[in-house]
Amino acid sequence: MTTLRLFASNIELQLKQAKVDGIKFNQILFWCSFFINEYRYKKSVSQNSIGFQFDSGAYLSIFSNIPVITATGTTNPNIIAGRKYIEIPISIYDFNNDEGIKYISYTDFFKSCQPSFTATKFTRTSPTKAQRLYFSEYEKPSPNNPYFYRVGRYCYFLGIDEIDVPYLEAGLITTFNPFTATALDEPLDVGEEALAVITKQVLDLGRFMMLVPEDLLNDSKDTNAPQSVPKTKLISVNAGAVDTNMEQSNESQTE
Amino acid sequence: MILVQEIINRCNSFLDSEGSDRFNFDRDYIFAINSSIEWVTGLINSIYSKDKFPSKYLEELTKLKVFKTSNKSRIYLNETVIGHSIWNILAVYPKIEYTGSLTTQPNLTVSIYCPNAVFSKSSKSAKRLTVEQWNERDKNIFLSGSQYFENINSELTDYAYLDPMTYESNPEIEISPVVNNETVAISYLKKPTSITAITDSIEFPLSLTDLFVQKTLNYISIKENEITLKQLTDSNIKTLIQIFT
Repeated sequence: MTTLRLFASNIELQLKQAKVDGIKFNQILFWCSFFINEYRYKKSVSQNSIGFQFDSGAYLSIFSNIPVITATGTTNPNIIAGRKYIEIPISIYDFNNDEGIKYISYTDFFKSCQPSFTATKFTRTSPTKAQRLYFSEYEKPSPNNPYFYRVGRYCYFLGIDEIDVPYLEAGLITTFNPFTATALDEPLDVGEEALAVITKQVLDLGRFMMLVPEDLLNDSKDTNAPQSVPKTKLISVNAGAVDTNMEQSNESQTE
Repeated sequence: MILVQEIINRCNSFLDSEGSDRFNFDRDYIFAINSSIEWVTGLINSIYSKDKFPSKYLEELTKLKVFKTSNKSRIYLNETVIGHSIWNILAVYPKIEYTGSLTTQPNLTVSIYCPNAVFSKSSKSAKRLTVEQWNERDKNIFLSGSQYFENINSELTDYAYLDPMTYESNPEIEISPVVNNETVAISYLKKPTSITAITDSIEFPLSLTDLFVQKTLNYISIKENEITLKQLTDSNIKTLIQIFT
């Protein structure tokens, strides 16, 4: 199973064959996260050949006991006195209709030993759409039919104003963070089929960076030979990396 | 180690003065040999700065010692306590493992040399920053010396050090992110000791013997106004430098 350490160490060595110590390991980790996140995002929004959206729990993280806060005062922007909200505990993908939030449910609301996400879940709405809900008895926000709407890194709620809800559970499609304490040695949270593409993308970025002459850096040495300063705009010499799996998926969708 | 006697024997042979008092150790050789040591030191300094000199030539002079930093993450390389002068700092290793015992640090504001501790290993190596780069290190988290990764995942911390600078009374190396009152290993080059007696040795490897002989002869030729010998040794020295570098 590939780990981020294995993956990034290999890339660092490949880049160092061209230039020792030019690019730092932490930078390579950061670059890996660009392309891993891009891959995961595209994979999540891609559709299969008959038009169904890709549905996988691979990038789902469940957070329980997220404290529900009732704002006592207003702080602009986004904190409004008297409203109940939670702070999204981690960075999530910005999918259409806030689908980065897979679900929010009561943590202590169990029916027949079911986990909370199979019982009462919050339905997604938005500040501009919420008004209509109050005109229908079947849709009106209530403790049995609560709603959430996202405002930046907060989720506000409708329907639970009159009850005491100290904690909630949320299933979130989280982004990949290469700098957490365990990120280096855990199995890399991306399909192994993506590694060839991501490797090429990171190497491309590294090669492009190495096109910048070192003499352009201010190292306090008087070594700026005029001929070493590039006269033309620097552009990557590499063709953009292409994920053939996704291309095929998109093509079949078009057909 | 090169025996001084060996250099004198070879010089006498070149000068055809074996068994003669024409060239005397105290009057001629001691100054020529010490000048040669300084000349080779200067030469290596220049070549070393271009990362070209094989460290094998300096093994007698290369040391790796353990210190405890001050509460400002600084180290004073006290030459009197260490026992020799320091020529150049080669590497600074924070977060080390060691064997032996540490010296008690009576004053936490002052670093201390731990002669009884022996460096075992470290997975960290501090990069040297210039005085200009030093204060920029916290602005960009990817620069060596940034505190950022120390707070979120210390395994990713990239250490940096600043060459000795006098902040208060003594020149001190500073390490970043801070390693206050922690053990640190420093690899450095000791300054070669000048010779005082014919029984002394020069702290360079035997492979440099001929370079020392040629340079000693070169200094003697200047003193003797011996043009031919001067030209010959100049040419030999040039060839030897090309071979070594």
